[in-house]
Amino acid sequence: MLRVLHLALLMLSLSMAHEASAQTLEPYFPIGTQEVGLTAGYLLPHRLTKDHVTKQQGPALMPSWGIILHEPVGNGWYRGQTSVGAEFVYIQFREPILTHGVGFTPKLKYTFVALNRLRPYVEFAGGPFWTDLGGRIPEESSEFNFILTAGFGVSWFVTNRTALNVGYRFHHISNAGTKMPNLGINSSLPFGGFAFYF
Amino acid sequence: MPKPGWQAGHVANITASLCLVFTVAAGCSRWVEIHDPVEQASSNQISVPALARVPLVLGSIQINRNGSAQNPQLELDRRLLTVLEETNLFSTLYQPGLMQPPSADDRFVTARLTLNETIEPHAGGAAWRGLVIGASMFTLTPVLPLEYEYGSELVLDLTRWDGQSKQYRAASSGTARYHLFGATPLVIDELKGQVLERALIALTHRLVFDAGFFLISEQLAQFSTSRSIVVRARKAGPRSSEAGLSQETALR
Repeated sequence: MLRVLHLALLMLSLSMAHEASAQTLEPYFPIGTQEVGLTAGYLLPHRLTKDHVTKQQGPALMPSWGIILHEPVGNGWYRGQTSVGAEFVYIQFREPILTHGVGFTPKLKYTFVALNRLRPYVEFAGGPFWTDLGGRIPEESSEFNFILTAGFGVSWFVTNRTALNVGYRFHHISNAGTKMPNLGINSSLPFGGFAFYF
Repeated sequence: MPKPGWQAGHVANITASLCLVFTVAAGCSRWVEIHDPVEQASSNQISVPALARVPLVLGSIQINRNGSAQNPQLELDRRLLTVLEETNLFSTLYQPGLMQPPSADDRFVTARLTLNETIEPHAGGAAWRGLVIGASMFTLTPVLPLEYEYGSELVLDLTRWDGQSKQYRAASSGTARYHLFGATPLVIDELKGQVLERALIALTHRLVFDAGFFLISEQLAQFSTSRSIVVRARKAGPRSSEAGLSQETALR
């Protein structure tokens, strides 16, 4: 994973150097602008009831794609753009047992554009998620699950096409009642990453 | 000999592949519709004496988008000058800053253009459909098209050398419809380009129809002895005959 991150940071540096001489006043993304990004974070457990005992945790890696649906709307602080896309989620659970999880989640994102290069956003995602942690902990009995995510973050546009992102997500993983027990596992995910727009 | 189960699985794989190809292909489609109620004249040309024509000086160009003033665009200056030049209605076209304008004693026409753009991005509908498309794991992409509406109204104020002025208006509008995977800035540019082109053509048709207002009357009297030139407006593209495109332009 470190090698992937090093490669990604190298690409980011090259992109920033290439665009440094072509700056305009502010990033502007018309309809159909696409975004590809890579986000990494560390999953931390939330035991919301007394029946939740597992302290699952581990790193997460999320490459993503999105497409902007409309021009900026609104005239106040809420002026922004919606994008829809998809994300591939990989989580390596290091606790309580070394296991893995992969998922594919369509996602919806609203970006506030009123602050020029500093752009907060909120995002929601959900989709199927497979993990071999299921069946090995008391909260989840099946390997096939669903993952739901809601979070917020902020993008800092270092160039008009490249942004650095930091933020927070809440993750919920459960199997929608297809097999009992299904208490679900809940986690916090502080993350950082970058995105390219083209 | 293959087993029946193998054949059924093979057919299912082919069917699934075909469905995927159809979903992606249909999800990439996009088209532009130009729609206005009034049809313009099909052809409009006259012969005038070449010496009766006067220069045109392009003055200010103002752009308003949904009622708000916008930065000027050099591209619009160039497009206006091009369609005016094609009419042969004026002897020379002057663009301030690029050419030395005629002296105040000469006879010339001054033009001021206002472009009023109306944009309806259907942002709420796009966000809602994006949510539904995402929730369906993108399978509903081919059946949920997105829309973007654009309208332009051109107002051209022309003032003659003797102070008389006239105002000409032309308008056009259209809608770009596209599926999620076909969303690109190019389709919006294409819509705006087509709508503006129709409005500019409609405007020049009106100018050519009213050509006598811009010509020197003394020279018109010597029409039989002087060299003549054909003044005509560019023809608009075909209506609804090419690739599902329907085009009409209003002229008022």
